[in-house]
Amino acid sequence: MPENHRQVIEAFLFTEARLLDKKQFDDWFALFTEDAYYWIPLRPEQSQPDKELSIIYDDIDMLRVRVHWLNHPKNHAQAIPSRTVHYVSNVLVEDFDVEKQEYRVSSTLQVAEYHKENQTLYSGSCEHVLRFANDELKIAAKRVDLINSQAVLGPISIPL
Amino acid sequence: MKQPATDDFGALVRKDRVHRRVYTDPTVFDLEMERIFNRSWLFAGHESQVSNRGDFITTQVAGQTLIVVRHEDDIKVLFNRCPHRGAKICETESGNARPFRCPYHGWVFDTDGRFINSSLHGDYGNSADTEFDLNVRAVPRMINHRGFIFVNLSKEGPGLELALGPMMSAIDNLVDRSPEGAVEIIPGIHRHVFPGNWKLLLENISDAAHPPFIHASSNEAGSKGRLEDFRMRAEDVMSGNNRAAGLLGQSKLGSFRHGHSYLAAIPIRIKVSPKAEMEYKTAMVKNYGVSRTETILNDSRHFNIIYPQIMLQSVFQTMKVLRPVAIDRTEVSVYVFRLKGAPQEYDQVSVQFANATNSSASIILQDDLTTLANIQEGLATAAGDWVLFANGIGNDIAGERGTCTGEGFSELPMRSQFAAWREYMSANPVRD
Repeated sequence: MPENHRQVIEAFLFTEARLLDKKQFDDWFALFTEDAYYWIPLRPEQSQPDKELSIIYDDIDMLRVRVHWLNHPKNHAQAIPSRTVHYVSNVLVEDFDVEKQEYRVSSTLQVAEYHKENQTLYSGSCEHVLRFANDELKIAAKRVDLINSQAVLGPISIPL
Repeated sequence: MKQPATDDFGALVRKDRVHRRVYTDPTVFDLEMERIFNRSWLFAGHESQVSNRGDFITTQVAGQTLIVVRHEDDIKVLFNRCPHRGAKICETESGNARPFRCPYHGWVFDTDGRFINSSLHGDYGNSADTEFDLNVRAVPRMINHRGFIFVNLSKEGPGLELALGPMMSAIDNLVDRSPEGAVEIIPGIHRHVFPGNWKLLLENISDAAHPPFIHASSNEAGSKGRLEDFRMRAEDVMSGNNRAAGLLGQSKLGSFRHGHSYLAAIPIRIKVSPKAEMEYKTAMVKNYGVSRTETILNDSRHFNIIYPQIMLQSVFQTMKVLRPVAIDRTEVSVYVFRLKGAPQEYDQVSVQFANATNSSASIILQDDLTTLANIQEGLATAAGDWVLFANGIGNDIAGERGTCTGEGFSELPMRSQFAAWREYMSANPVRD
């Protein structure tokens, strides 16, 4: 566990946000471990991904497909590309599992997306499980709880 | 070409084409609400959403805010409006009421809408003795068909069985796929919206020719993914879509009276482990016997459209329900059903399938929704008045009682939808 872990973790989350804003999806994908999942639940207190519907529940294979799609030249949803700003704030290191070398980190997230004359604002809380291995941090799990997850939603193309 | 007169809605529909006004004219939309959605049988909820006495959900159907509530042993569907001053008597999306109490002045109603008493500190004179109906109003017609709650906002017109005709079997097939002959809604509803006319969605669902084009990106992305052969996930759907050009082209489709249509079974199925499949088939055979089980599982159509509101895929335990909001805005709710008595893996796989195909973040659905929005914008352009649905028109085979069958990429479902549209939109109520 590095001494300046808080700084390292914050920098990691900010870098992740910037990769998404710059649409460097391959680099973003490379942040995840092979056993990672990326989850946007449909219900705020949802604890199980396979007994209820979710907005996204991607394991690494599904996430790879999503990234292929984001990069694909015939992706109609992004024929006109979105522009986004991911704001990460209120970062708290909740705990550190020494055995697994994993940090549980909570943060708040806002994503402003401009697409085809419309600007949409997504807001929610985030929980990352960040695993420390071979001197680098990787995302072992990312969960985003949107405050409007149960609302009628338009297409969510760019990962939050 | 001569412009049809404003009130001549029949002239907007021809045998092989429709006038673009049906998608763009707000006066058409207002009349559709009155003459189609207020006259047809619409899905309001499923009984598993209100399991216990007093359980209720509130929902929007055809512009009306409704309450679906379990009253004693039966289910009632009420308009969510206090007869006193008009406040909604249920404020939340779901809950338990025993009885209902209007939040505004505390008027109390039984769960069948019957007036019990008004607030403690009020003198409403003798209005209870006058002509004024103090009960919460129930919808004119409501039928619970095997757990599916249908409502009709009009007193007149054919009953559910007649209106759905042979399409009732779409719902029956979903329920029959449960070894116990019963289904329930899996928690969570995918809800999405697109800036386009409601009819565009039904046409897109009926359109077997579009996947290789608008889904090229997800098809190819999916083919690059790695498959685990016992899980039905987005990759499978997408590589299925890749094969679909051939499969769908050879498949059969058909239509019935009142605008219902279907795409016959194709070999794209939910994939579960051999163990789960064995358990499931054993349970099915125990309940239905071998031959009936085969019929239930093999006869499942790939897609069903119950005009004008429901899109049902019993193979994937999935039902989409559309809600027209405006001429150029449509909301969709997607329900996934648990087959009672089936191994849990069936639920898990259908949840994965729904997340991959029907979430607002689905990489497949997004290409559809984007295309529907593009069509809506395109149709606003005054470059010719007509939209063409001619594909396969020479090869449709007319059967009895308004039934028609076609093959592959035929645009028969759209022609059938507009034949029904024309009948609904005429001033006369729809006949049996």
